[in-house]
Amino acid sequence: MIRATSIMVALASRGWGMGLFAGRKIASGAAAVFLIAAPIFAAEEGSPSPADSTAGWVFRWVNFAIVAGLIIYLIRKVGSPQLKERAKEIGAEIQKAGEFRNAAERERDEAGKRLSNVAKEIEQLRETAGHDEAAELERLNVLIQADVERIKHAANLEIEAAERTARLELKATAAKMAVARAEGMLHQQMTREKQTGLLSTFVKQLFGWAR
Amino acid sequence: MSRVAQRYAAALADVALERKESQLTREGLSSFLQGWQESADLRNVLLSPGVSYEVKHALLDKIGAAMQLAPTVLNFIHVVLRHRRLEALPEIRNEFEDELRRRQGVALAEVASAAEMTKQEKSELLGALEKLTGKHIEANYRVDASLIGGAVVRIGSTIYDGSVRERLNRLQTRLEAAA
Repeated sequence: MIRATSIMVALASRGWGMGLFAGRKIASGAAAVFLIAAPIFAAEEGSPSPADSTAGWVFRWVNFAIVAGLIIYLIRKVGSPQLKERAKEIGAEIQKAGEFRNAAERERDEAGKRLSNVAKEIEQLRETAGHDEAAELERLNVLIQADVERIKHAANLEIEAAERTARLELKATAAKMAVARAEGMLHQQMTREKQTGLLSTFVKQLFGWAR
Repeated sequence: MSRVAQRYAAALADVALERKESQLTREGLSSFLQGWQESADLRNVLLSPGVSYEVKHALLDKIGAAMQLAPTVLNFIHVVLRHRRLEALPEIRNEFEDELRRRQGVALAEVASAAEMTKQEKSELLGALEKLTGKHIEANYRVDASLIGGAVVRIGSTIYDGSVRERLNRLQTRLEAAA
């Protein structure tokens, strides 16, 4: 049994008869099965087991060491590249995640900056709007003031014209009344002598024009 | 009609001045026209187309004799009758007066005064006007109480105003224009 196991281990280590990596794996697996199963077959035989002797125990430990080494070898031989590859993948993913994180942080920072800029822009817009509003109010004030001045000027002109007309009418009325009163008085005071005097004056005036 | 009246007036003035009967002609024409204007029957007969020229001619001769019209005047009225222009006779008389004044260097003055003028006043006024115009002046006088005092003279289109009314008007204008 032990011999068979040894042979199998030897075959597995050399890869005899298979030529391929897959064949080696199969052969190594079969040798492991035989090694594990050997004590069981030995116990079934029922005879005083040499395994219980010191040599047996030594052999067991040796066997255990071989099996363990084999297992470690297999693990290192087969599992290591996959683990390295997985570790690489995980590292890459970690790196990518780090990059993502950095990018997210950058975006967060930019967003923060933008947010702070937004507030600033809002403040600027508010300030600009305030300026515009003030300018518009100023412009409207100027326009309204100009309108008010124009209306005031037109009203003043109208008032002046009305005043002038009223003054002229008043003057005309006063003159008319004064002349009417004077006419009445002259009618009352007119005498023959005065008429003669007026005619005489008129004649002198005509003589004066004749020169 | 005015041009026709001017032609007749000029022709009569030629004859009257030639015969040196301007005053006689003027008076005769005025007398006839006075009767013409006072008698509607006379006008009706002389203007009626139903009355023959001979009848009208004979009637005019009788009127002329009755009014002792100068032959120059009577002949002139006959001419006007023959030319059927008797309706223009008043206008012809006015034109004749103007023509005579023009030819004799006389100007007609329309004088309005506030009260009746004395002869002396009229004389002084005429003297002044003759000196002013350089023409002999014939004046028509009338009274206009609205003048209050003084007088106004119109010669042709020129007015000489020496009335109180005009002074009052000027005073009113000055008062209205005063500041």
